Order: sequence, then C-alpha cells, then structure tokens
Amino acid sequence: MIDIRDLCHTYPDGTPALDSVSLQIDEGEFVVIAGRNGSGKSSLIRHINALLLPSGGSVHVNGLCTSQKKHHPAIRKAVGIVFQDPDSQFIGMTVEEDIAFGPENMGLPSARIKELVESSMETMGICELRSHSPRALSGGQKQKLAIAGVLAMESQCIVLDEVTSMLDPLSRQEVLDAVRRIREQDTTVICVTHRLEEAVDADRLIIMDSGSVVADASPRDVFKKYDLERYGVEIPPVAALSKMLASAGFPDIGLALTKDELLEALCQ
Amino acid sequence: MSIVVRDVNFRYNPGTSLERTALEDVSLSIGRGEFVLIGGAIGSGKSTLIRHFNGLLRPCSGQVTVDGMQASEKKVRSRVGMLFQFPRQQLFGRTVFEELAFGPKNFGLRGPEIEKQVHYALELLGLGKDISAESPLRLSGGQKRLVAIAGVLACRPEYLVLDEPLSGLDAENKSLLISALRLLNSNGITIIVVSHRVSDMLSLADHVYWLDRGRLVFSGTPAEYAGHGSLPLPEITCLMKELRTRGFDVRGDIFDTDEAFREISRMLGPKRVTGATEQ
Repeated sequence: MIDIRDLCHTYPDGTPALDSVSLQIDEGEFVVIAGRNGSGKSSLIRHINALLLPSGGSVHVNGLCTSQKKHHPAIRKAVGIVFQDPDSQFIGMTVEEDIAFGPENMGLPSARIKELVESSMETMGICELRSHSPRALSGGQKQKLAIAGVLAMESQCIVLDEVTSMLDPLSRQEVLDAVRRIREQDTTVICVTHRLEEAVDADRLIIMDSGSVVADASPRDVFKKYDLERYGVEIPPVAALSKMLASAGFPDIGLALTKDELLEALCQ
Repeated sequence: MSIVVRDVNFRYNPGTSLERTALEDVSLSIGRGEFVLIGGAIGSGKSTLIRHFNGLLRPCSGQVTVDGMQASEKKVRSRVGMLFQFPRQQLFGRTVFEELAFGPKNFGLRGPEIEKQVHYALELLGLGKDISAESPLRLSGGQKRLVAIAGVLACRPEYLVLDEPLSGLDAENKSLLISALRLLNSNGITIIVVSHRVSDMLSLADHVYWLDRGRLVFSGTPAEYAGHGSLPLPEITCLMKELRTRGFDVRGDIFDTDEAFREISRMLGPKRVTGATEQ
C-alpha cells in the first residue's frame, strides 16, 4: 500500500532529515516506528500523506506518487495523521460536528455522513460524548476524538504520531485499546512512539537513527538482535531485564516481551 | 525549613456557573533537601497544588507557608523555582547565557553578579560553559529542558518544582534529566516532581504523594507506595510482587531494572551464575 524508495529529505535550511529510506508497508499491517528525538520519524510519516515532498527518491501510496500534486486529495483521504497535540486539529463545536467535518468536506450524502460519524464514535468508544465541546474533553478523550475524525474519512491507513505521550496511564490504555479495535477492522496502523511497550504486539518494529532505517523486523527480533540503547530507544523494562538475565548466565530465560512471559520463564 | 500545606481548598471560578473544585482539604509538608514525587491522573489537581507553593494561586481556604513565610509573599518567588511542562514556552533568549541571565536581572542583579549566578546554574547541572553561546532553540529536547531548569536555578531557589519534566523526552534525554535532578538533590536542593507517571523516578524519591480528584489519597515512602495495592506501579514492581506471591523470596519494593536483576540473580542462586559464565 505504501512504497517508499530511496527517500531523501533536506529542510530548506540545509538540515538533512532523511537519508535514502526505503520501505514497503502492506495493507492491514501494524507498524511501530521508534527512534531518538530528531531521528527522522516525524519527517518520514509526513511524507506518507504528502505533507512533505521528497528532495530525492519517491513515495507512492496505493500506486499514486506524492510528488504529483493532483494525487494529493486521494493520498490524504487514504492516509490520515493524528498528532501529539490534537487541540490544533479540532474544528467543530461538538464532538459529532467535529467528526462530521471530514466526510462533509468529501461531499458525501448526509445519511452516509451520519453512518460514518456513528460508527467511528462507536469504534473509539466516545458515543456518550457526542454533544460535548472538544475543548472540554480530557487528554485521552481528545486523542480518541482526533482518531475518530480520521476514521470517519474511511482512511485505509492511520498514522499516530506520539499520540499517547501526554496521556496518563489510564487514558493511554484507553487509547491503545481503541487502536486495537481499529486494527481488527484491517486498517493499516503506523504508530510513532518512544515507548516500545506499545510495540510488543506490532507486526513490525522500525528503528530510525540520523535519518536512516537501522532496524526493520518483528519486535522480538529487534529487541534480541539490536543494542537499542545506541539508538536512544528505551526497550521495555521487562524485556531489558530478561536480556540481562540471559546474558548473565541464565540462558534458559529467553527473551520475554511481557511480564507474564518472564514470570513463566522464571517459575519453570 | 519546609513547605507546609494545611487544609487547603481551591475552586476555579468560585461563585460562577463554571465553578470547579480542584483541591479539597489537602495537607502535606515537604522538608528541605527531600526528593518528592506528586502523582495522580491528569486533572487530579497536581498542577493546581504546586501553583500554591510560590503564590501563583492562593487557596480559597487553608494556608500554605514556605520556610515560615506565607507563600503569597514576594520573597517566596525566588525560593521556589518552577518549571512548567512546555519549556519551549519558557525559552526566549537569543543565547543560553541571555536566557539564564533573565531571571537574576529581574531580581535586580547586575553584571558580574549575574555572570556568577549563570555559572552557578550551569555548574550545578553539569553543563559546560561552552553552551552559553548557543541558541536555546537549536538544542535537543533534553538540553532545552536542562537550560530551562538552569534558568530557574540561576535565581538560586531552595526548592525546584517540575511539572511533568520527562514527558515527550526520549530515553537518552530522560536519563540526562534524571541524573541532573539527582545531582541537584545531592547538592541540597529540594526537588518536587509532578507526574502522572511516577514509575521513572520512584527509586530516587524520599516521599510520594498521590492525588485523586483533588484529594490527597496517599502519602508515604516509595516502599509504602509499592505495598499500597491500588496505585499504578511500574511493570517491574508488579513482576517482583507477583514473584513474591508465588512464593519466591524476593523484595516487592523494587522499581528499576538493575535492582530487579540483582534481586532475581540472588534468588536464582550464585552457583548458576558462575557456572554459566565460566562456559
């Protein structure tokens, strides 16, 4: 669905942001992108819906090249981005109105808009907030609303840029649960995060450093084979602990990604 | 010498239709030199509470004193330094030096005195003098936050209050900031950290408070926090506690990976460790 080849990006002041990045993302995949601040993650995802255009190389979404302006509406309909601070993305006076804004702009008939608003509120679990003002919502509720807005556009791919970083643990879990429901509907989800606990059940984990992809494999393989500290990424504490135990002479404790996996290994 | 909060109640927009209670009968006392964590979900009243420590907010009822003075007295402002969540909004100098000189200048200091304060702040954080000439906007996220902290330190506060200092930082910048806070605390500065995620700093703290909908629902040591049962714990602590309930002889009040590693290695026995390392 997304085909990125030799993508380079240089900012107008000459700062290189991406250096020859190539990757393909298939429909329905759940991909996590991690890396230190300034590693190029945010620049990369802004290329996927043509918010940034390549300085070199190419980006295709559903076969459409982002360098051609005429494709931008179709590309932006296919790929929706939710940012860290959703406040700047709200337009409507109520939750319902805000979600309806996207499909209305696409010129859909009002019965269809209603359906889309309803189903995206349901997926995100915010039906009871329908008549609230977006400004009056909590941080987690705001993020769920922002994601619902993208869902209502029937985007095939949703990109989440650090959406949980400002949330408390409870709201974070609610947002992650909602994201899981989206994945069950076969929507492609690309998630940028500092917190690799969120990558444990991803199909792929991509690590970026200095504008390049340095690892691209299953989370288990990435945790096992790479020294992630070098790339400024924090491996989940439980995985780090199991790695330390294994290298200190407890080889039968394999790499555990979750607390339960490690408990089981230790109890044997 | 301490910050004492006694029976504080605070309501936003009192007497209007937007009235909202933010703090209810909160009492606590933070001694000089302590490292204190104040946790709670977003909207639990944490930020409202710390704004009472230097008189940015005044209680509707109850009292807040700092080293025996009312928190609303002007002298308190320089004693209690405050760093808010988004340091970018607090940075406006062209160079790091200008940035750090701003506070001391405002407190009426001149030339060499200002320079002395700036160097004091840089030194406390372990930052070199070279950084003075840099533009604050070109620094990494963690460095920006350190410069914002240095700006507060240049006013020589006794208490440093930080609102969500780790949010949005990557692993490297996080550990940069945590070691800076540890260094400051060992130099006698009281550190008060507000966070919805206390797990990163439990091992540094002397005392933990937890707020829930404006009420103080927990006050105790990190070990007591771990034993409480219904407060959010780091995954590592949950693991250790679960090992304990399954009959293993390990401590349950462990918050970081290194300590958990030592404890589990001890539990599994030294023989196996040596045996396997020799292979």
